[in-house]
Amino acid sequence: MSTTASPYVRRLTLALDAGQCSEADIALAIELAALIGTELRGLFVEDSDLLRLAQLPFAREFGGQSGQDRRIEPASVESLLRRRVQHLADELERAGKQRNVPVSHKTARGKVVREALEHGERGDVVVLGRPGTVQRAARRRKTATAPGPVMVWYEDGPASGASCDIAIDLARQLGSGLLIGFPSRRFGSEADVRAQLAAWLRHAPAPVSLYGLADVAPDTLIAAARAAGAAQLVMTAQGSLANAEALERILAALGAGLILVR
Amino acid sequence: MSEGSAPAHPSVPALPPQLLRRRIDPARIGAASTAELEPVAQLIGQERAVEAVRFGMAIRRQGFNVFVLGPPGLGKHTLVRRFLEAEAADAARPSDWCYVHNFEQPDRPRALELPPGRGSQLRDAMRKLAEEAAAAIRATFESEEYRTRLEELAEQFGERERKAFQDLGEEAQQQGIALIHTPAGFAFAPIRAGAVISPEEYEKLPEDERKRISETIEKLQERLQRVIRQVPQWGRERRNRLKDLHREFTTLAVDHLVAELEAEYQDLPEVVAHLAAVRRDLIDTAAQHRHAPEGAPEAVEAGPEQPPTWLRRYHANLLVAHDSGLGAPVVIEDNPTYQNLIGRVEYLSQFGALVTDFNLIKAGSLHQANGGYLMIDAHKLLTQPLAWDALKRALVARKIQITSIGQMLGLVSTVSLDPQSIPLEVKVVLFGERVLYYLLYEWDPEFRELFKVAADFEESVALDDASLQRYTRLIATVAKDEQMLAFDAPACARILEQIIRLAGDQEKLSTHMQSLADLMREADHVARAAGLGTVDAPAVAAAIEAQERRADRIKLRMQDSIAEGVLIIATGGGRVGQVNGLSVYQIGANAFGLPTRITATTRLGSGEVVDIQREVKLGGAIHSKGVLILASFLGARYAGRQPLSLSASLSFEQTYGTVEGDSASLAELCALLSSLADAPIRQDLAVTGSVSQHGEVQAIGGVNEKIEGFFDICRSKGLTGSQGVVIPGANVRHLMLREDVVRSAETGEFHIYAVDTVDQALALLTGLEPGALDETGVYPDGSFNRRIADRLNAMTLVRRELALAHKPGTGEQQ
Repeated sequence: MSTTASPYVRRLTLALDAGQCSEADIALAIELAALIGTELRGLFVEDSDLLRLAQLPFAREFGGQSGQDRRIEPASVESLLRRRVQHLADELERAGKQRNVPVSHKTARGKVVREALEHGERGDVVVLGRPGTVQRAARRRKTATAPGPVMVWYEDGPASGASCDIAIDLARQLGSGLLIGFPSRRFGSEADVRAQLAAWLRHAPAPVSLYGLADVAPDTLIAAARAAGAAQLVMTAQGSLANAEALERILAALGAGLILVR
Repeated sequence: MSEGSAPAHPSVPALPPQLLRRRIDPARIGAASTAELEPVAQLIGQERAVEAVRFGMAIRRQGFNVFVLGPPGLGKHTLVRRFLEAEAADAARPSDWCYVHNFEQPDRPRALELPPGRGSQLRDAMRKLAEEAAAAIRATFESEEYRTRLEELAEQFGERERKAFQDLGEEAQQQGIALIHTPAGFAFAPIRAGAVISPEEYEKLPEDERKRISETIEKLQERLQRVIRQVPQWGRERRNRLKDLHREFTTLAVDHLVAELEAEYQDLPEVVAHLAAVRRDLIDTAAQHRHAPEGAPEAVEAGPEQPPTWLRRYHANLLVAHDSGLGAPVVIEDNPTYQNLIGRVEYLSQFGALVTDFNLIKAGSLHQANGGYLMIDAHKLLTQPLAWDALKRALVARKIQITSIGQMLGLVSTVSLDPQSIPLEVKVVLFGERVLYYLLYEWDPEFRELFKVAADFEESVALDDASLQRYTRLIATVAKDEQMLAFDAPACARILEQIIRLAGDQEKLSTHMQSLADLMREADHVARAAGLGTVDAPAVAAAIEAQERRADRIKLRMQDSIAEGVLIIATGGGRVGQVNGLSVYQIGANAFGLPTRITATTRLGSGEVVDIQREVKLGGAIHSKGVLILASFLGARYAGRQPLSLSASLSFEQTYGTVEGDSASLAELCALLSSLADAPIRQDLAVTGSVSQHGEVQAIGGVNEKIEGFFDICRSKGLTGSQGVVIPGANVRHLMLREDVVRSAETGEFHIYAVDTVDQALALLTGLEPGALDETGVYPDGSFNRRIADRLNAMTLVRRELALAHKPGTGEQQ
């Protein structure tokens, strides 16, 4: 486990949908910040779609358990989001003190992935939260078996090294293996990738496997991650898949968390 | 009358010394010592009781339990126990019993009957099954296969739910509508360029577009509601599939374990049925406990060895086991409390509450004796609250039902266990004194129905050659059983004489085994202390004397009072209206006799005889009866032609406690007649005897103690050669006097006289002929009765004169 700050990492940003996230997400992010040895910034994003929805005259909310519908009022949505943000900020403060991790927070309005991409700077590692009932239920499922590997999408661009560092640290922390996904058309062979990453692989926990994707697209990455049972996905914010649409698709499809390294 | 040798009345000679004590010739022992004698297995003289016990044990009908009655110390317990043990040894071993969990009604544990010896096997097997099942279940649920199947299940249902929302979202997306996650659920909204349109943009849309959006959203909302409403159904289906998964894996884990036991117990259908229930329960509930660590807080822990609660339900509580030994049980219940008899449910304290389960059911002595015999002391049983009722209830119902006293009395209504009752087949033997038996027989109708056999133990047996031989062998048996020294023939003879004295009859031997055993133990001790190799007659005599010495403190203090003149007792001379009566004092284990001064006065009166003891309520009913009888005798003999014109009063001088019994009525009569006749009574003689209305002298009790008591007083003052005791003739057979008394009789220093009539007693006591009525109805001159008749006539005349003098209208005045 890495106990010293990565030279590439300036700050860890936890980007969360303010209406959907929970204290568990914050706790996980604090642990990751402590692992990396950096400060944690909470970026609480008030979903702009939700706010606009509330203003539409025909907007109705259907209860996730009951299926009963009711009118959504803008004022109540605003109030709810404010309360949630305050609660999350308080929880962030408390968790940071407990683990001796410097914390700060910021509120934005928009979409989580887009805001996360826009609010980041070089050296930031952005952890994207996992919205949606299915993913939340999956996160709560306990399993005593070893978690799936940490998957890093390697494209040999800026911050690739940092993403490998973070992936290796995470894999050690989770006690899992490492899966390196790469665009097979860019690299000659698996051996080429291994050679290029030799310095990192020396510190990688076993097992390490590589997976080349001929067709670089969100769906193929999703399929590869699912096949490996990846517990976490790490990629650079400059990669070919690091756009809002692709990231939202990947987040929605996988139960794993997504770490973007700038 | 002066002190000194006064002649006995020729018609009432002194008893010859050989009649004063029954001697046992050591030659009749038939051996030099007990070492040469064969032991005897059975007590003697108890044929009636043995027959009753044998019958009670043999008859196999309800209600023929046995009550063994008789005073303590006869060896009842020993005899019956030996008999029962012998009988039980040949009887079949009864069943083992276990309590097991009732999965359908947990508060009503089931009772399982098993062949003897298999109860402990089942207990061990169930404990092992529970442990192995727990381990197998844990291993199964930690296996890769289970986890994979679990994840597949979760994935399958998770994917279904996710896909349903995803498909709906994609369908909406194709129609320009987004599925938005809201804080409490979902909503639909039109989108443009990947974002929900603002209200202003919406208002700018053409009417038909807004209509399309509205209709589309409405249809999508219906689909959303259907999807959401399906989620709980999927959840239920997922849970059912999960249950099936758990059942499948639990079955794999435990089925073979249970099947092994089922094969082993296939000859016991109830056990097999229980095992099937265990299997079902394990399969249904094991998944709940697959993560429970051993020693979890929910365990009902009595100590470090207690397994968790959920495993305890699969155990078997072995209530009664007959693993080893042969035959039926013989149980002696020494402390027959309610719970000790019928069993109890125990509780453990757990976090401030009392908890229990079927494992905490404890057997009572009825369970232990089931199929065999149960021996109980009746007095102990009757003094324990509700124990007698509980025993009767069990015997009537022929089953043992464990119920707490609180539940039975309706004092508690908390949930507790109601174990299944167990059929009862037992012979109960109660031991008690006769008074208890007859009280129960009289006042408890159920007792008569349940204890139809009375085994009445004799307190003595007739003395003949056979019984003498048998008793001697009994002495040998006791000596051998208790590793005593052998008793030589004279010692045995001395013991037998003491046994005769205990019987209180020269023709009987006492069957009080405790007294025999205690005497032998003490004699053995004396012999060993003296370094003897055999117990001889002097050792026995020393033991007897030591027993008497240990108990004679009060006797000696009272004798001292007489010697010091505090209690006035004359042992010589003559006194009118005064006689030495004799009383027996029973204090603890010691009985002793002492003379009592009885006085009588007579005067003019109208026929009443005042018993001063009765007047001050110090006379018991029997004593008062004796006084009334002697008064009747007086009237019958002397008032045939004229009324009695006397008043008489009788008193036990210097007696300040209650006087009971009629054994002094002869003495009282003699004192009264002495007063009437003005004839002195010899004070060197003591008198004991009961008298009838016809003047017959009747037998009394404690004759030996009474004679010895007067002898001791006379000896302390110095024997004069004329002293003695007058006893009823019917008591001669009861004489078994001390050696020193007999020796004094042999040397003519002390005498015992036996009388059958009042006249004989009066002749001895006064030296006067009693006299008989002639044909004219007159007693001879100078006779005792003549003196009485004359005195009464004189009184009558005086009374008549007084009556005439005071008669009104005669004109005569004195």
